[in-house]
Amino acid sequence: MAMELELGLALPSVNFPSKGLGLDLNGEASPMIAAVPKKKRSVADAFAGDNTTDTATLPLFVWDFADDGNNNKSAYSCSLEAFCDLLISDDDNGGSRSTAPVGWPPVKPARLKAAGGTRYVKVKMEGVAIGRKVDLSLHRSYATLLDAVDRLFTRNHHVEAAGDLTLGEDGASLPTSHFRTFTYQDVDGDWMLLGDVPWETFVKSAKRLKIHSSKE
Amino acid sequence: MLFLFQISPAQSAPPFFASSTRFPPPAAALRPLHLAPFFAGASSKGSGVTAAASKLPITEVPELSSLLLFVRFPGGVCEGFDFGGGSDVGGGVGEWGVEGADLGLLWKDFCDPAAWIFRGRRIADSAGVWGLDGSDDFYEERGIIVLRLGEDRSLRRTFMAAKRKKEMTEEARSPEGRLSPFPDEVLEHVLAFVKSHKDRSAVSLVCKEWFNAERWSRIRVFIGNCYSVSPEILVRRFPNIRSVTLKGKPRFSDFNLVPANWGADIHAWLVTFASTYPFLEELRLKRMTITDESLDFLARSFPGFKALSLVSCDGFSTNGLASIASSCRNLAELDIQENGIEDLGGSWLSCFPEHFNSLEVLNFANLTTEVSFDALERLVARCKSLRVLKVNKNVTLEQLQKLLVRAPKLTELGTGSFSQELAPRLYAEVENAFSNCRDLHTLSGLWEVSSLYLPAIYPACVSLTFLNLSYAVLLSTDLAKLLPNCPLLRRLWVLDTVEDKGLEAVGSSCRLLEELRVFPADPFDQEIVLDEVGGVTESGFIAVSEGCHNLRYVLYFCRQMTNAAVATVVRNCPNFTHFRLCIMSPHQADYVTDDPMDEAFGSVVKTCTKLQRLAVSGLLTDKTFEYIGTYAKNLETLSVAFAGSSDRGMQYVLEGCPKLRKLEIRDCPFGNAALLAGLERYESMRSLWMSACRVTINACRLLAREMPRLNVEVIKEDESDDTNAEKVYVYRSVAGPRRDAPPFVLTL
Repeated sequence: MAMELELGLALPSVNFPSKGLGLDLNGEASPMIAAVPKKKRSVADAFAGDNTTDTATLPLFVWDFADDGNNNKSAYSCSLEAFCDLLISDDDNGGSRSTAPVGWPPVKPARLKAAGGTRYVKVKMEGVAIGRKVDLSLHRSYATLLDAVDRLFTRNHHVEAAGDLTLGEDGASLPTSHFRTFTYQDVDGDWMLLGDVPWETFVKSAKRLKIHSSKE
Repeated sequence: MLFLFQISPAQSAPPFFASSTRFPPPAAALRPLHLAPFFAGASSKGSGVTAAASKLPITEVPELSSLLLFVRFPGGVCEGFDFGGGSDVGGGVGEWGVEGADLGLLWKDFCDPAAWIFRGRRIADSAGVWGLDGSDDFYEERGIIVLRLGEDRSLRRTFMAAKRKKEMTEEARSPEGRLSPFPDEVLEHVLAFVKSHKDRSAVSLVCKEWFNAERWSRIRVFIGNCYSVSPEILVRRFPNIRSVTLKGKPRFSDFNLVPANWGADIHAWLVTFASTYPFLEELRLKRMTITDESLDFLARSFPGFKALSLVSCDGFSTNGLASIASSCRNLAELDIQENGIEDLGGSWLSCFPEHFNSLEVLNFANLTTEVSFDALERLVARCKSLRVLKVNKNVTLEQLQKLLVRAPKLTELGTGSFSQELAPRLYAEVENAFSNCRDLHTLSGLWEVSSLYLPAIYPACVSLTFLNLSYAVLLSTDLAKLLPNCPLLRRLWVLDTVEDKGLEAVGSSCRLLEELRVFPADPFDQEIVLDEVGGVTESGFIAVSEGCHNLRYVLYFCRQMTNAAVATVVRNCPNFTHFRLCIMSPHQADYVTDDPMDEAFGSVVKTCTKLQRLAVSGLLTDKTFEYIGTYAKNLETLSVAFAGSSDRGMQYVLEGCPKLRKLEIRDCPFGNAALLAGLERYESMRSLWMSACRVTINACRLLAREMPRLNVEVIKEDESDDTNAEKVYVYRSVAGPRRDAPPFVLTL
């Protein structure tokens, strides 16, 4: 069931090695032993609600859920991320940053703090499963950024070009055929309209972008 | 490592130089060295020490005091030449003559007595005496380091006196007796040149005299686990220590697996040192807790204090640094790295007194608040011996240029932020400053570097051997343009933003590369994104291995890997000593075949016979550990996470890896049987860490009971479950159980 959905929307890519993971609800999976710490729930608990962690059949997916306190659960398993996106509404819960096991991957905190200078931000377009990434440091103004983003999606996702993209006062683009609203999430977690603040401020504070499209 | 000490009173040879692993160039050809007959009974010619002697473990011959000459030939074969020391030890090896006051003394790396082959062989045979002929190159090729101790008249006199005494008493000596070949002072003097900790440990095992000579002459001590020994035991054995290196918490504390206030507090040590080592000069701590009070105490207690290095420590603030700066008049080194430091502001740097000028090493790269640039500039200007300077992010390019102008002789530089908007003239000045740094061998920092300004460092890269770009967000094009400027590079650290293409550039430009570390720019990003994504794959790994055949150390964070790729990598680079592969999603299989990654690590341990350190990841069954136990015979450190199928996995390793010293495991299905399989092993290891495994507290209690010289500790934060041992830390100790354990640490 899940497989079909996934195939339908996913791009053929090596990032989707789902075929070998034993996605068989009933039978055995490949020899993967989920070392599931006691406090964490398997996906079976989350979705089916009736599996325990020590059944003879292995859990559907091998992953751990971490409850980050806000009842936001999403898988950290990279290989099943897209599938998970389909199961869980894309409600911009801050991505999967908060759900990795403690201390994993093993990167020292000092390194994490310092490398926070990366200017890569994720860009998600509503209705498109695959996110893109742009490097803000390569751009000097909103204009070039929007242009690049537009090209990213139209080139790869067969999304219609938005035509002339300029920001209106309300942050919405003024295309000829589609409205697109560009928003970004800042360091405080708030979603703002693109264009409200000067470019330099935006670059420093933007964590991710989201493009909402709504037909006229 | 072998040392040949030649006391050459009549030479114009330079005064002694410190031992090093790099053979120093000879000042003059070595004269034929005739070795003194300090050793009684050195009379027979021929093949030297007999096989009988080789069967005696050296420590079982308590009064053995002969000096044994070993030559380690390329290929590792050791041949022994006995200088004598009792004909019954081995029949002597020939006549030794003395010329002037020459004396030869050699050691071998004593770590493995079983490897000693007592088979004498003449290196040169001139006039029927054993001699060492030829130039220093001759010996260098054969693994002998030649040190000249230079003129030391008192030592000469001592030797001559000892020789005369020995000659007089030779007849009186019983055939069974053995004379000490050296007066103690001589031995101590010579032992000062033995610096490696392993060699010194081995020297101390030879006999009682050597034990004493070693302990009196030792000035440096390294303690890999602060709880393995107590301050009292340390000072009792070694009275003259000037440099202490201590490591505290288990390594997984770097990743937040050890709760705060666990221990490893330095203060008790400092108090003991203050009374017994008033001349303490150096303190190097890793993963220890040190408070501002302790830093203040340190600064006031040791007037000759010279070097403080704190790596991954916690418990202090910049106020503590201020104490050091203001009170340590002779400070030469202040190295503060990656610590959990409370940064209250940069005024500590201004606490160095105006006349203070002895600094040689200053590293505050990981501090976050701004120091007074004025104070920094003046400090750099007056410390003429400064050779290592690593500033923090707040220092701008323009400021850096001013510092470089003042310190062109730097050998290690950590820049500040590299992103300032620079007018062209200023940029030219920066470039100029870098081009004057001809001695630079290490470069780091480069925060927020932009492609525009990176070329400014090119002129300084010509002699770089270590380039740390792990804080610089670079793209593959940046790296490809930078690397050809660094032809001598041996160590490279990068972020995975350079992607596989960047690693291809590494493979083609860095032929001498020995160490590569690729860090993830966005370790928690698990969403699948395409394009512009950053991240390296198996292709990049292969590309590096194809160009850099000298690779011996790799740390590689990636999101996908295949067994075939790893097999290719180690086929290209079989000399790995450190192989740390982190596939960032736990339990991730080979993404092409969907097999477990067992064969990958199998190929690593089968091919890389010199492997000392291994970190595994990905989907792994017990097979991986069977491979490790079967093949990784030189393995000393193993890190395991989210791997294995059963207790057998861990058992394979404990049974099969004789040199294992550190084993750290998290989130694996290893239980009590696995833990207890290592009962006999843990005393020969430094430590074992197991967290989120399947071990119970009762099993830990059993282990503690059976092995009283182990400290078995369980960290327990979850009150609800009484049987589960969440985190287990086992280590050998001569100091008994900890007395400073916090409530959440059960000492069993």
